[in-house]
Amino acid sequence: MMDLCFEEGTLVLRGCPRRVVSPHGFSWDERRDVYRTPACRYREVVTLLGADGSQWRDQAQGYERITWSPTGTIEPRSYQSAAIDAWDAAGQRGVVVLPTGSGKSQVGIMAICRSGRSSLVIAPTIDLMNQWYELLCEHFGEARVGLMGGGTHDLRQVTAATYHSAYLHVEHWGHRYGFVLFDEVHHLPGPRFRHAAEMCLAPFRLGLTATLERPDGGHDLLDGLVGPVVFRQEIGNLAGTWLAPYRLERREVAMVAEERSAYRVAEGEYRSFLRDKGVSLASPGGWNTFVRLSGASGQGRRAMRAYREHRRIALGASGKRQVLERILKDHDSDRVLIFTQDNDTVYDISRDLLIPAITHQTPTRERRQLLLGFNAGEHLALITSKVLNEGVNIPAASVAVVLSGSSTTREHVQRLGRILRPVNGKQAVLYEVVTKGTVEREISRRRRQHSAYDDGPEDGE
Amino acid sequence: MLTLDLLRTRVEGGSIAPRYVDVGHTGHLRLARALIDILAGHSGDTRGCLQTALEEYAGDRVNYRIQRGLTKLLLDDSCTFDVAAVLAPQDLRRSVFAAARRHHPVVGDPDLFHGADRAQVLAEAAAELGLTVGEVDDGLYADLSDNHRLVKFDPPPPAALLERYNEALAQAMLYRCRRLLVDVSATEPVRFRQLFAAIKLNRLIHTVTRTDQGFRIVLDGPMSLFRHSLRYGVRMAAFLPSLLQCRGWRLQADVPDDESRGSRRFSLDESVGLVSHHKAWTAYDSQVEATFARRFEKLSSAWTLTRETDFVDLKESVLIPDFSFRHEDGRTRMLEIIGYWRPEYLARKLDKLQRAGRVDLMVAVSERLNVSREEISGLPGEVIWFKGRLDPKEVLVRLD
Repeated sequence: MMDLCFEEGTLVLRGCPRRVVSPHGFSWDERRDVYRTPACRYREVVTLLGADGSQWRDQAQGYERITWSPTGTIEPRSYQSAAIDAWDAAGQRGVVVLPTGSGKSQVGIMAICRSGRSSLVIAPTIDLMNQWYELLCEHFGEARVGLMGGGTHDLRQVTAATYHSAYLHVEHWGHRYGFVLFDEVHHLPGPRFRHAAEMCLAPFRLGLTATLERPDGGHDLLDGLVGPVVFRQEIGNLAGTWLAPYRLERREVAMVAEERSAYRVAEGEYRSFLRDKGVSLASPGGWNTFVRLSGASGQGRRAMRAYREHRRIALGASGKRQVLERILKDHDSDRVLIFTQDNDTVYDISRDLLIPAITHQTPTRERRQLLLGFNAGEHLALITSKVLNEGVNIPAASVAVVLSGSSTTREHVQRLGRILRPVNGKQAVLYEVVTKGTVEREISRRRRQHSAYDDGPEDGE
Repeated sequence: MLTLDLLRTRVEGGSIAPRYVDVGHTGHLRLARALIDILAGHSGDTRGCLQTALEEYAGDRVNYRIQRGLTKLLLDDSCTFDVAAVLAPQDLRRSVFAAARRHHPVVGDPDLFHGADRAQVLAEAAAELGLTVGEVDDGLYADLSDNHRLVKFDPPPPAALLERYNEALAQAMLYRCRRLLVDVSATEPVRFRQLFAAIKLNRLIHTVTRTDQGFRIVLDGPMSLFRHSLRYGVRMAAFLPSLLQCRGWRLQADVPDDESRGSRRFSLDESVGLVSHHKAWTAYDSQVEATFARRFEKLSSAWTLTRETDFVDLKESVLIPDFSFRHEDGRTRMLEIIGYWRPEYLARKLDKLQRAGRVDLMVAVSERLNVSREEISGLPGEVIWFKGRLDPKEVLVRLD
């Protein structure tokens, strides 16, 4: 009699002596004298063992069938039903691509119900994990819902986790969930996080995302880790009907005289250094060369500092503060979300204008209260840098102000997505504040290269 | 431990090694001393303030990365920070933001319709809380890491800091390794015990082969069988200090090189002179063993107690006997003393001895143990029963 066991993220076949031909794709592990295979092959292995007539026991599976029914009610929109049916038809494995704000989490709840197994939901940030936790409690009751991440490790029949914790502890939970939902699944193919999918045995898997493609091509791995794309709907097809209508406003500010001269000095310094060294930042590998040179001499260190300084001046131009105050006055009864590139600016503004801030340093309970308070109107503005980029549910927000940001379209699309939850007839506005005649123009141009901005203002308008 | 960006390396052909610092170098000692002095001089100040002072000290110097590395180790290992605020900052914020909501928006240039400014809102919140405006303002974000205050500093000697730094560099080298190759010559049982305890603690998988000089131990993890996994690198780094405590060892690991998509060899041995920051375990874990060793050494015979032990690889674990003996003519024997064990440990110990199947391994069993002669009789080696303490003469008789 052989025993199929889960061991540290792998499956081992105990009681199966070494054979001439290894069974079912298992590899002989000489370190332990046992047949071993990655845990993600569980579904396939069980089928193969069942078909070949061998005597074996399943000691690996540690998940349960859910016998209770969800408490909340779901009235799916047509495309949500279509997505879940497509996933079901594909054997409950695969990726669903839906735009931000279209109710991806509803699809997730439906999938948990369809799978009928102990379920783990993995999300990229603590905020998102907390949000899933609330939602899961609402549908399945607090007693059955656990948390893994942000300092909590409490596994229950339905559990919300962060990618980071899921990756760190997969040896521990890898056999305990029959269904795993990867929210914002484009995070999964990273060299570390993908272990979470490879080392768990869940036969049923779903990936959700609005932005599937990764610059490194990592999305190609998802087929093996989660399953193929089974359903896909783009933003244009849903705007107006399912998403709030939106308007894009661009505000350009000029630097004041001191900023302008400091900017020119810093820009001149790093540029002349790069010119002397024959390095172009636009060329591939140019940036890495600059980093290397900056560690090699005092001059290089000064040039790198000047480079950071010129960006800091552009992104943090004092004129932006006036624009922000103007926007706050114009929208004094709207819910306003403010985004910046770095946390220092978040806290500078939070202190000056007494606007609540959320960053990775905000304690879990406080950030929950702030988000609930914002949605309830107890706060009219919130300021943040990166943490609210993704998925966090802020239906009340109708105004977003991007004071500064990176040049990635993903970040920008996600920030736009935060104000697009449809709430009775709201008109969403996204302000982008950019410093004239600086490096920020280029940053702004690059981040707007997405179909959602096709009707937005062009440079120079 | 250090983060990867603080690792300084030197590449030579196919090999790579950290740029260790010379622990006796006056320049480095001066740097270590200066950093320690800066921290000592900023007792009670915020982390942000400390960082500014350290930045200023660094200036444009190129050895900046050494400084950042040393600083990280000092901050992690020798400093205690705490939040300083009259009231929990979260409670301060709740009051302040509630007051701000009543006057929303708070702006720098109030006008007819938006009249509130910052001072007014803070004053309102302070009055509610029964605090001064200054206390509220200062405490508002006292819980941010940059605003934590240095409350305790245990300065290490500068040379010890440099030694810890070198060890941490070697550890950081292992973060991205997939597999660790360790050659180690026979050493005292306690060193092997500590070594294998570290392997087990860090959940690594070992493969042992015998070599002319001793043993070759290959370390990786369960997933390593299927793909190059970087998952176990941090565990290997955590294992390293236990290896540093052995004698006659050598380590090799391949470090991936992103540019060439190949890898480079990292080698390390005793000649580098790294010092473990872990405490070494004491030689004997019980009084019975210590007494036996002392009394055996007093007997004059052709057998001597050796400091180099053999061990038996059982794959899931290893069996490291308590004592090894060597005869003048080269013969060797081993001894395991079973003194006081709880039942579940005893069962596991007997199972290990059984599976080891070594006839040259004697077992001394205390009669106080609740164990039957039948259970013991199946063991491959000779069995000595003893009361109280084990008489070395009894052992000597059986050795001959």
